[in-house]
Amino acid sequence: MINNEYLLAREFTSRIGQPIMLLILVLSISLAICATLPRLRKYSQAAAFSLVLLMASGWLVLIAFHYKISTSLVLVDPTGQLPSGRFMIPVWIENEKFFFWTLVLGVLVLIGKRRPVAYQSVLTMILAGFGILTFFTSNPFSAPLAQFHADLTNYAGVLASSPAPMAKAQAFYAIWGKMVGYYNSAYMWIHPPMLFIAYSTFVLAFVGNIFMLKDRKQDYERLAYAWAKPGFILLTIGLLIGYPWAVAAWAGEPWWYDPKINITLMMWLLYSAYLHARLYIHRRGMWVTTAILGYLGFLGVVITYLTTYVIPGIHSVAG
Amino acid sequence: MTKNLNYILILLTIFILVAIGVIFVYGSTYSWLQSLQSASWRQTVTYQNYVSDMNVAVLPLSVALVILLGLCVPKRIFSGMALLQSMAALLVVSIFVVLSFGLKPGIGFLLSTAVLIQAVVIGMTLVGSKRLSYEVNGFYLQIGSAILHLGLILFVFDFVLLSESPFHLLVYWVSTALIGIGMILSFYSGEISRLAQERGKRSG
Repeated sequence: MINNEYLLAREFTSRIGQPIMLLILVLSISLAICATLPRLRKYSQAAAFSLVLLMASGWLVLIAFHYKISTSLVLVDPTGQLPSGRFMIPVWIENEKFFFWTLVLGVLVLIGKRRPVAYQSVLTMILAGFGILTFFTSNPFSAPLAQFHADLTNYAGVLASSPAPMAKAQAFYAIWGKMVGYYNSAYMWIHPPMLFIAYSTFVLAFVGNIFMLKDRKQDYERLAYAWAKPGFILLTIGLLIGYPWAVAAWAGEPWWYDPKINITLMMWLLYSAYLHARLYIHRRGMWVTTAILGYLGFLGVVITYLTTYVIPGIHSVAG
Repeated sequence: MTKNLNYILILLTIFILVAIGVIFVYGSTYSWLQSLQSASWRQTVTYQNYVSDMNVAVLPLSVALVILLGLCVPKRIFSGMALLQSMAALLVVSIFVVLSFGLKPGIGFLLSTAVLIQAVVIGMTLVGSKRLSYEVNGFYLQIGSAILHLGLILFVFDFVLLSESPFHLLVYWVSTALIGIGMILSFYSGEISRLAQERGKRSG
């Protein structure tokens, strides 16, 4: 099952990816310095561009690894009842999630036109922070697809060591179920990227909300709204797409009021409240209310992301 | 008066949305604390009690949100005293249905009426009726808002009345499509309008 081609590809991905990650760290620190020191600010755009370029090349390496997985690994039913299958793994799972989020954020930081200098500086600082966090907490190259690899190794171990056909069949159906219902599912290809793109736009909206309250300028309010809009559309559709999948994938399991789902809905509710408050922004007290709802919505984004790793539940990896 | 009423309805909506959000935070914190005590707590009676308690806490606010959603619909067609009367009539009949037949049929009546009124609103918006009252101007913004609200009402309707029906997922996808289209039209009405005008100029 686990062949040399796959193992070599995994090792190559790790070997080529580590220097890329180190460069990402160096560039992120440089970007933070450029964005902080006014004298060096003129270099921050170039530093941000280099960082995004580097991350994009890292992502291409990951895509190549995933492609290799799909071509080199074949899952064969030991009982011969099911056709053989191949893994089509999306490039935003496990440690790749935060890497992908940082990459999307980087692209959004770059593509903006004629933004206020202070706003752009804060954005580049946040991007630098994301780059540093990616290196220390979500390096996708240190052990590429660690959980997938562990599942695969366990399965190969059972095939090699257990003489009982029943045990082999059980192990096969476990990994087959994960392949069909998780790795290869259309849901995994659509839902996570929609949410990560939404989260990235919410970062830009959040920075707008900060300046909106600090400087009390309509331009910042418009900027925040301009980025909250696509984020809210993607978040809503992404969440709606998740429901039919959840019904099928978690049938018979208790998932109602799961912590991650609760917090995600809280985030959606806060952004809905933000968009409603905006309708009457010129009424007394509504400017501050709108900005605060924007802050709370973004706090919801951060908590939603962290919940996956901290609070155990059906939609989490914690515990 | 209509302007103030709209404002009050929006404030109430914001309050309810935030309140439900706070309950969800409480629920997640409670789940977390329980899972620290016992990893398999979701297989225990405590989990069943937690779900019941959450339902008890969320239900009144969800019902209030549904009522607000239902009441927001007539404001497009009526104004002034007629609006208040139509809202009061809708509320009174819904309460009557709740008392006579239960909560689900009552909410179902309110939502069905809202779906019908919203469909009329969309029709009137499409033919450019001057009788409609919106907080916002522009055809795409108005039709987008109307479609979005129809999608939301249909979404709630689907969960309240059709959750066990074979049509549940079908209606779910229809409401998802309406919500998506409505959001795009209302959030990007300016851009869509400009595109339509440019196309019109080019072709004519």
